[in-house]
Amino acid sequence: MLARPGGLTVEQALANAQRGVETLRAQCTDAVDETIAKICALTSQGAEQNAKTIYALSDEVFALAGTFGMADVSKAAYSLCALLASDEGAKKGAAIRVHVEAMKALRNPVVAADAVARAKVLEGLVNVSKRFGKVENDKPLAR
Amino acid sequence: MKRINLSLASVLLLDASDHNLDILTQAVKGLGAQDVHRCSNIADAERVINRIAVDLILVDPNLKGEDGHKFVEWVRRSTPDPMRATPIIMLSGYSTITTVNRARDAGANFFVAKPITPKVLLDRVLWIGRDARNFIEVSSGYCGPERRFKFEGPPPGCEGRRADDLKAPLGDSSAPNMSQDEVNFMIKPQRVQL
Repeated sequence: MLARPGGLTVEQALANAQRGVETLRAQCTDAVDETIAKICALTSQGAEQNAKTIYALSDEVFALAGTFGMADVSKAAYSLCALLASDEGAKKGAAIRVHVEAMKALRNPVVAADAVARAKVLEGLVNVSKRFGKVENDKPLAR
Repeated sequence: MKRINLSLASVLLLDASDHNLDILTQAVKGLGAQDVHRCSNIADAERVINRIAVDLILVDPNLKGEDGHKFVEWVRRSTPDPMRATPIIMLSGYSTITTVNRARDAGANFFVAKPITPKVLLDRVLWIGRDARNFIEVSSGYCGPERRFKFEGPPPGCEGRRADDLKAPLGDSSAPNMSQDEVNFMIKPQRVQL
C-alpha cells in the first residue's frame, strides 16, 4: 500500500499533516478550556459519582493539550487520570479538586507565561499524587 | 528520497471525541489518504467495514460506554480475509501496561499513546509498512499479528506452536565433527593448481 509509485515524499507528507492539524489549534484550544470547565462543574457536583465522566474528559484534555503544545496542562490532566485510575482514587475529592484548580491555573495567561509558577503547580500535583494516588498494580507507562 | 503513497488507501478512524477525530482526519489526509471514514461508535465502524475494504484502522479503545478492544477482536475473528488482517493502530490517552497488553491481545498491530502528532502517526504507519510479523490464528482464541517481535525459539521444555518449530529434540550427530580444514575446503573457493 505504502510503496505504490507516486505519492509524497515523507517530508512533504509530514509538512501537509502538520499544516492540517495546525488549522485546528484555535478550536482545540477552546475545547481544552471548555472541557476543563466541564470537569470543574462535575467536580463541584460530586467527584465520586461523576468519576467516570471526569476521567474521560481529563483524558481528552490530556490528548488535545498535548497535541497543541500545552505540555503542562497535558501533564496535569494525565496526573488526574492516574489519580482516578488508582485504587479508590475517585473517593479522593480533595486531590481531584487540586488537579482541576491546577489545570485552570495553568491555562491562566499569567501563570502560562511564568515557567517558575508552572513548575510549582506541577510540583504540587506530584506531591498530591504521591500522597493520595497510589498506583500499585497498574503502573502507568513512563512518558 | 523516501516516499509514501496513501492516495488509494481507505482509512477508518474510530474515536469517541470529535476533536480527536478532527486531528486524526487532518493528519491522515495530510499524509495523503483521500478516503477517510470517521466513526464515533462501534456500530458505525462495523457498518463501514461491512461495506468497504479499508487498508488501515486507527482506534481509541476508550469509546463512550463501549470497548474498542471488542471492535479489534471482531475485525480479527469475524471478518473475512483479507479484511481481518488489516493493520490496526490503537491510540489511547492515559496508558498503562495493562492497556498496552489488552491492545496487543486484542490483535492490534501497534499501540500508540496519545497525544498524537503527525510525526508520531507517520512513524507508526511507516513502521507497520515494514512489519514482517506473521498473521497468527490460535484455536484457543488469539487472532492477529504475531505478538512476539523477536523469535528466539520456543521456551525451554515447551513444544513450539509454530508450524516451523522443531517438534522433537535434536538427536546425537551420526558422524564425527568436521575439522576446520574440511569446513574451509567446503566454503572457500580455491584456485585449482594443475
